[in-house]
Amino acid sequence: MAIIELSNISKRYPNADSFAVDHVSFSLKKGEVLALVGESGSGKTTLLRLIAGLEHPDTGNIRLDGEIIVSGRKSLAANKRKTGMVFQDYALFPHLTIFQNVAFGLKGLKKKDAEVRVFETLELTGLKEDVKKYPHQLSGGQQQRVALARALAPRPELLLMDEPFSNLDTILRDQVREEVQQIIKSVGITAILVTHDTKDAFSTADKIAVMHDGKLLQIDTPNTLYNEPNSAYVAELFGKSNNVVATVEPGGFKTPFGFVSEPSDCPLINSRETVNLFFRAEETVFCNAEEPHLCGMVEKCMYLGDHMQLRVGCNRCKTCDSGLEPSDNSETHSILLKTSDQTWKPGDIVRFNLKNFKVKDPIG
Amino acid sequence: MSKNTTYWWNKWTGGAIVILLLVLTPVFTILIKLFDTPGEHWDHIVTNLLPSYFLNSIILLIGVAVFTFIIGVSMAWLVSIYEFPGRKYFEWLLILPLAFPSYMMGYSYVGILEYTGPVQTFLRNNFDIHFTGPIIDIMNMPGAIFILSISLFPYVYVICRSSFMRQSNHLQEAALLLGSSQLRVFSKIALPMARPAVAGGVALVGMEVLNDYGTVKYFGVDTFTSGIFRVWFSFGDINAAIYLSAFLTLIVLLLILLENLQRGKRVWATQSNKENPAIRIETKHRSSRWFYTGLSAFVLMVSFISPLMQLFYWVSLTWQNVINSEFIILIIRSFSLAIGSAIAIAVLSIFLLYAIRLSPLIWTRHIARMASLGYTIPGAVIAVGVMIPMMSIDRFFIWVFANQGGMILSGTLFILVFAYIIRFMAVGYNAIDAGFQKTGASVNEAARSLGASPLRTLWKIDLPLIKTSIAGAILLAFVDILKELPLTLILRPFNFHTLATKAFDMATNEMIAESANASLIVVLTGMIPIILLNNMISKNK
Repeated sequence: MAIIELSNISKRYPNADSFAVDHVSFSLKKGEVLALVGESGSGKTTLLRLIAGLEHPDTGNIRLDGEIIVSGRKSLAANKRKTGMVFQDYALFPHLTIFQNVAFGLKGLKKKDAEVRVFETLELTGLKEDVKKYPHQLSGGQQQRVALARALAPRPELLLMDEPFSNLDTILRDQVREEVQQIIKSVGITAILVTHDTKDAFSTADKIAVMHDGKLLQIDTPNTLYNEPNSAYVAELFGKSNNVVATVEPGGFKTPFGFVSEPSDCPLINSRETVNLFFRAEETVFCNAEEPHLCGMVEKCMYLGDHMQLRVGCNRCKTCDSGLEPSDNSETHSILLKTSDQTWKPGDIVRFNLKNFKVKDPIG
Repeated sequence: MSKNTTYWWNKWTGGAIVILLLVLTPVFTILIKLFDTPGEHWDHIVTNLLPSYFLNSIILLIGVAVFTFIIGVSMAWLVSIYEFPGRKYFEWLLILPLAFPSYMMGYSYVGILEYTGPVQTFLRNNFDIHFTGPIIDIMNMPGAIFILSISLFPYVYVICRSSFMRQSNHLQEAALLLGSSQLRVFSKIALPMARPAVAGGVALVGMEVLNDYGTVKYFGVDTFTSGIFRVWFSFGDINAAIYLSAFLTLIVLLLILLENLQRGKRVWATQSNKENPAIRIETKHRSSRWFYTGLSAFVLMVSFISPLMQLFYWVSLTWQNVINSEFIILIIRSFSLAIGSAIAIAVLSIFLLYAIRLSPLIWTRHIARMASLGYTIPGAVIAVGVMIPMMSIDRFFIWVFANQGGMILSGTLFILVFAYIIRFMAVGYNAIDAGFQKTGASVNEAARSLGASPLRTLWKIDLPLIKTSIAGAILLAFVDILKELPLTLILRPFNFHTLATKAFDMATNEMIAESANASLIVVLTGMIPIILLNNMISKNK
C-alpha cells in the first residue's frame, strides 16, 4: 500500500513567473526510500515542505497513510502530520540539550517511556554518551545524527530529509551517508530525501525522482534511470552524455562523425528522418583505420587524474568521408571521450566506435 | 478529514487582524473625519495661520536635515576611517545625544547662554565682558534648528556609521590603489554606497522634527504640531485639528515617498559575504590625529556634555525644593506607565510577528508592517486620532448608562497607553523582528513537524531564543515613552503628570531650573540602553 501519495500537486509563489512545483504526482510504498534529485531551484525542497505541511499547494491532494491531509483549501496542520523532518541546517534547538532535543517530539508519552525512547533512538545513531551536551558542542556529523534521531524519535510514518549531507565536508560526507543509510534501513522507515548530489541519490535511495523546473521528469529505480533515461536532461544529470544529431539511412545513421551501423532493436528508425544518438563517454572504443569507424579531431585535452577527457570535433579524415555535413549547431558536433592514454594532444585524429548508444527523438 | 482546517486561517491570524485594526485607529479616524466639515475656525486658520505653519515647518525641516546630515555623516566617516586617540570611546559617546530629548536640550541651552549662565559669568568675572541679555538669542528659528540638529544628528550618525562599516574595505582599497585620494574615496565610493542609509537616517530626523512640540513651543516657532495644539486647546475646534493633522500626515507621507523614490531599486550589496574589518588609517602627523580627537570632543561637548552639566548645575541648586514625596510618586508613576506600555508593545509585537511566522501567505508580512506606521505619524496626530473615537464611545456609554459612569475611556490612562502602543509599536516590533530573523524559521518548523502546537513552539522554542531581543524591545520602548511629550500632553488625565510633562510644565512656567530635576532623570535613564547596547556590541566583537 502506498504510504504517501501526491496527485497533481502544484505550487506557484506570489510574484514568481513559473511554478515552483508543476503538477507533480507520485506515490511511495512503505519502507521505500526516495531521492528527489534536481538542481537548486528545481522545486524539490518546496515539494518536501508541501508534504511536511510547511507550505500549502495551489492544486492537488496529498494522502498520508490512507488519510487525505491536503485537499483544496483544507489541510492538516504541520504539527498534526505524522512526518518527521531533518532540516538542511539541522535546526537543532540551541538552548536545549541533546536529550531535550530528541525528547521534544515525545510530548504524548509518559516521562519514563519518553526517556527509554530517547536512549533507544540515540543508541541507534551512536550518540548515547552526549545527551547532556548542547548542539554547539557537537561536530557537524554529530549534529546531523542528532537531527536524525530527533526526527525519528516520535516514530513518524514518513521521514523527510532536506539536503541532509550538504553541510558536511567531502570526507565526512561519505561516512555519514553510509551511517544514515544504515539507520534508515534498520528502522525500516519510508523516507524522502532531497539532494542535488546524484551520488547521494544512487547510494541511499530505492527510487530516484528527477525534478527540473518544477516538473517531475522521471521516477524510477537508480538502475533504470541510469540506463534508460527518458530525456536528455536526465541522461546529462547522471553522467556526461554525448548527444549527436543523425539522419536515418538504410542500415544505420549518418552522423557528423561518420556512419554508424544500426543496432538490432531500434523502434524509431523508420518513423523519423532525423534522430539524436546518445552515448556516454565511457561507451566508446578507440580503433585503427582499417575497421569501419567514426572519426574526429581532438580539440582539447583535460587531464583529470585517473583518466583523460578529450573534446573531439567533427573534422573527418579521408578514409571515412561518408558522414553528415556538420550543421551550425555546435553542441551536436563536439563530443567528449574518455581515455587512459595520456599521449593525446590537440590536433590529433581520433578513430573510434560506439559500444552502445541510444536513439531518441530530437531534443524535446 | 475532519481534523483538516483551512490552511491560512488560525487563531493567530485572527488576533493579528484585530491588533492591526486597533493600531490603525488614528489613520482611520483622520480618513473618515476628512469627509466631515472642516470646522468653524478653518477659514481663519487657512488664511492667517496655515501659510506660516507651512513655511516654518519646511524651513525647520530643511535646516535640521542639512545640519544633521553634515554632522552625522562627517562624524561617522571620522570614526570609521581614521584612528585617533579616544576613537573607540567617541564611537559610542556620539550616540548619547539621543538620550537627550530636544526640548530639554533647548531648556539647557537657554540656561547656558543667559545672563546668569556659566558662559556669561565666566566672561564677566575673568575678562570683564558684559552683555545685556543672552550672548546669542536662540529663542527663534535658527535656535530651534540648532537645538534639534545637535539632539537628532545621532540618527544619521548611527545609520551612516554602520553603513560605512559594512562596506567591504576591499572597495575602498581598490579605489586607493587606482590612485584616488582619501577624500575622493569618500565622495565617490563610500558616500554614494551609503546613500540609501543616510537618506533613511535623514528621513527619521525629519519625522522627529515634525513630531516635536516642546522645542518649537518654547522657542516660539509656530509649526504644524504647535498649530494642532493651539486649535485643539485654545479654539477647541476638533475638526480643524483633524484637518491640520491630515496636512501634517501628508507631509510625512511625502517625506517617506521621497526617501523611497531616491532609493529606487538600487541595492548596493557588496559581493563578498565576508565582512572585512575596516583597517583604519593611522595619520602620520600627530597634530592631525589630535585634531580629530578635538573635533569629536567638541561635537560631544556641544551636543551632550554641556547641556548635561547645565542640568546637574540646576539640580544642585533646586533639588531640595523639588524632590519631595510628591516628586517620588511622580517618578514611580511615570516609570510604571512607561514600563507597562512597553511590555504591552512587546507582547503585541510578538503576537503579530508570530502570526506572520505561522502564516503560509507571504503578503501577511507586508500587511503587518503597517503596525509600525505609528512611528512615522507625529504624536499630536495620533493623540487627536485616538481621542475622537474614544470620545464617541464614551458618549455612547453615557447615553446607555444615563450618565452614571462618566468618561470611561477618554481622559483615562487607558487611552494614553493605547496611544503609546500605536506610536511606539515600531520600536518593539523592529527589535523583536530582528530577534526572530536571527533565530531563523527552521527551528520553529522543526518543532512543529515534531508535533508541537504553535503555542507550545512559541513558548518552548522561539521565546527562549529571542529573550534578549524582547528585553531590548521593552527597554527601547520604555525610554521612548518616558521622553514622549506631545501625545502625553494631549491625552493625559486631568492633573496627571509624567516626568516629561512635568519638565515641560515647569519650564514653561518660569521654573526652568526646577524642571532640570525631571529632565535629568529622563536623560540618565535614556543613557542606559545606549550603554548596554554598546557593551553587547563590543562583547560580540
